[in-house]
Amino acid sequence: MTGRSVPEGVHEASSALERDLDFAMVRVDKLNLARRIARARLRDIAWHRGIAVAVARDLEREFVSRLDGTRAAAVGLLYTFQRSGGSIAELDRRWDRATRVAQQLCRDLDRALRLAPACDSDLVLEPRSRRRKSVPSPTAPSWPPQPPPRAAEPLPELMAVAPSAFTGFGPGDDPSAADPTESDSAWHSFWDAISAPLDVASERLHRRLRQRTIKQPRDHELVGALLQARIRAGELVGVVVRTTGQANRANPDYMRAVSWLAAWSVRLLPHTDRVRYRDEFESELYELGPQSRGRQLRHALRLLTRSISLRRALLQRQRLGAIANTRDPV
Amino acid sequence: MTLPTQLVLRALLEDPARKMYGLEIGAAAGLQSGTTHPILARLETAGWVRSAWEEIDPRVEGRPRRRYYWLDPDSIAVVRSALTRAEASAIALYRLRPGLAGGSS
Repeated sequence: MTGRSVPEGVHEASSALERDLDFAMVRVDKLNLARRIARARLRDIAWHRGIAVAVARDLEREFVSRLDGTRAAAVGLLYTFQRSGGSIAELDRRWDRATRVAQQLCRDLDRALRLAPACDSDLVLEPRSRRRKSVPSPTAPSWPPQPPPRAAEPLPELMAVAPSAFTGFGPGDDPSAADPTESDSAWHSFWDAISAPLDVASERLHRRLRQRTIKQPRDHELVGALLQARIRAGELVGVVVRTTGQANRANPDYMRAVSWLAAWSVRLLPHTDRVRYRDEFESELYELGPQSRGRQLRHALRLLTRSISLRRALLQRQRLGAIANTRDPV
Repeated sequence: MTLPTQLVLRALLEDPARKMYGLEIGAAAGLQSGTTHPILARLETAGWVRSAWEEIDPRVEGRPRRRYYWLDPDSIAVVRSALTRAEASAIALYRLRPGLAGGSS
């Protein structure tokens, strides 16, 4: 039996092949592993992308819903203001009444002013706060020397106070145009100025009436005129305080609605353009202000509803600017 | 070019040297207030319109500054030709499809 001999080099080739196969198997395993890793990473990427898309959708949904809510609230506010047109008419009516009462008061004070010089010189109107506590004797000099006693406040000075109070917050003025704080203080100072001297005068007159020292008919007329002025002043201040109270209640609501709408219009714009458009919108609302409140509100509402298209235009400008900067680095 | 854009451009073209603020442009173009800002922003992006703040001291004048807009002098010819083209295309569209192109019935 003769055995065939294995040709030379077969063993080497076989072992080399086995080594190559092993190497290939290892490579295949590594490749499979890499493929698995790649698949897993792709899944991760898809997962992250899905999350990003979902977040973006949520944000968009939230943005749209907020915008819808804002718009609905704005429309509701507008309707509320349209419905409350009656209260504005009521304000006008009260101002008319305040004007009439103020005119009557001026007439009463004029009458008192005409009558006062003809009456006793004791009938000067001096506020309680300015009355002297004690009158020094002219023969006994005091030390330190006191300033001469201040002249009592006559009616002409009182009349000088009234016009300044009227110009501070006149019945003919638009209550929305005035600063409620200033107007209130003006009316309070008017009230202080007019009520105290009238009270003093009335008190003195009553005292003299009780003492039956008033004999002239003109004195009686003056008493009547001053009492009438006192009552009229009270009525006027009452009307004005009620009216300013109503104006103060209506005015902030209206201003708040307009500023709220304008603020939301600006907030919807890109960050870089907010300052410019805030100033521009404020300027336009200021221009519309004196014409009517309704126009101002409608303009603010329209700014809000158009702010989305304005935002789109501004974003497009930013994108184009970014592209131009990329192409032209200068 | 949309019809409101054409109206805004025509309002600015009436007196190209005149500077107008937003409310004035809206009134001159016959548009509702507040609608001109997106149009003006797009025209500014295109370089046809320029804008600047009014040079006043608000405390002295007693009112806020206005933002003035005006046509870019270099773009007036382009604006005119664009308006002419827009008008021609609207007329052509109206001839093809009466009732479209903003035409009357």
